[in-house]
Amino acid sequence: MENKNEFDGFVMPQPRMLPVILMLDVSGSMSYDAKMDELNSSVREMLESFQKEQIVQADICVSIVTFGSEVKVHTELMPARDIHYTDMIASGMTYMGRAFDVAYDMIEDRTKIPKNAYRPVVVLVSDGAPNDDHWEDKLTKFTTTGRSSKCDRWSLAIGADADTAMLKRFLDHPEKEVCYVEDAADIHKFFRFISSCTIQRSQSKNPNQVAQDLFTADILNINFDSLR
Amino acid sequence: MKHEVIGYSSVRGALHEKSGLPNQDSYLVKQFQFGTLLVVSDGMGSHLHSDFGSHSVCRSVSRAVQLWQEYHCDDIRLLIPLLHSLWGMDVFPYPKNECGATCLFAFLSNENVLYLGQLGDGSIFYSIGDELALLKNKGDEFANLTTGMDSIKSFGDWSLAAFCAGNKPVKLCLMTDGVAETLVESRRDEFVKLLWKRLAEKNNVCERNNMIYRLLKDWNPVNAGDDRTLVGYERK
Repeated sequence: MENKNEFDGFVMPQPRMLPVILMLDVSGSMSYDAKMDELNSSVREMLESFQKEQIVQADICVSIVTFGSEVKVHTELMPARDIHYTDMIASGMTYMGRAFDVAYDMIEDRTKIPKNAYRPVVVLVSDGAPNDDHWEDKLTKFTTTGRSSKCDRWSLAIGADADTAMLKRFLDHPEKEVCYVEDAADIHKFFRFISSCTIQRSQSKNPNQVAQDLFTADILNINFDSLR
Repeated sequence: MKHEVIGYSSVRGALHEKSGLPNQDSYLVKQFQFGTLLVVSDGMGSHLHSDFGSHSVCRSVSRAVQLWQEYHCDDIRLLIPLLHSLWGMDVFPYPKNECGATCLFAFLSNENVLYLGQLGDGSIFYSIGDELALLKNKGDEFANLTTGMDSIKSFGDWSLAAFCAGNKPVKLCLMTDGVAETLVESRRDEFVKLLWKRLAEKNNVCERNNMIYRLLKDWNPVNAGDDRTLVGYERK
């Protein structure tokens, strides 16, 4: 005979995950012109905006992978509301290729990102060019194979020394453009854009959908109120 | 003589209720003289006329199956181009890319052949005899930007199957992704089996539909944003 609540345990008690993976350049050059300070405050602001949002359709989870001479997972993938952010410190080379491998493995790991998660957002930020061995192969692997090839990928170039051609290759759609900021003070605009898109997705009926009109939007001059 | 147990219902997702949008899922249960057809369709949220698109999917599958049957055709692959043509005409004059919708159908003929078809997300569970199976395993498609009737790229986007059921009992459960993607993965089979069991205990289709309606309505609120549609079937 039917019990009133016998179907209760069959539905997931948590919303589906919407992963956001930040791949951030912390090489020595990021310490100039207050770039590192701006990046830290922008990431902090992004996390606060995610923490403020009421969870409706998706649980926004964030991980931060940093690359300088050392590549490490600065923040393990976890719900944004549980992250206690500590500032990143800039030093050393730009071992971006290894960061691609670390992010690739994280995205492939089904224990971290389950099958029913929404399409992850991956954001690459750099003010220079990779200088570790075989980075091109690693970038190609990241963008063309496995689950990372299916992610919603965005990139930000900071200053004239950033390798925009490489950052363009990172994007997942031919109509997308690398966002370029000359001044470190504009870094936060890019992160506000990513935050708004992500929150918009988390509250939409189909969080897998990325509005294509945003691909070519003037990211630095968007009125974010209109995205909500 | 065959005995069929059928139950079906659909509820609007909380996000649609909040924004005053219609339920964009549709379903159809139809008993023809030559067999029984079940269809569910999930209209794509970002498409302007997706509710109309999913209704059209149900109508088009029904018409396509009738035409296909008239030709005494038993190759399910020949049904698909017909279905796409009918759907394109049915949604006209709306552009197809404003009417995107998934398509999941099951047709059990009087000759005891079970035909299954799926385009896009959602799930079709089936059992012939005792074994429970899933038509399309999602695999690693977390990035599943759902393929719909408007966005098919190749015939390979469809999952199709045909089985000779003979006199074995046949059970079916069709669900849109609002149900399928929010179930605890390790307990999906158990959920479907319990559903069939409870449906079989009911006296008539009204009781079964009420049971499914209550089940969908009482869905865990953290995963109730999307529209939810479920059709259960058993032929004893």
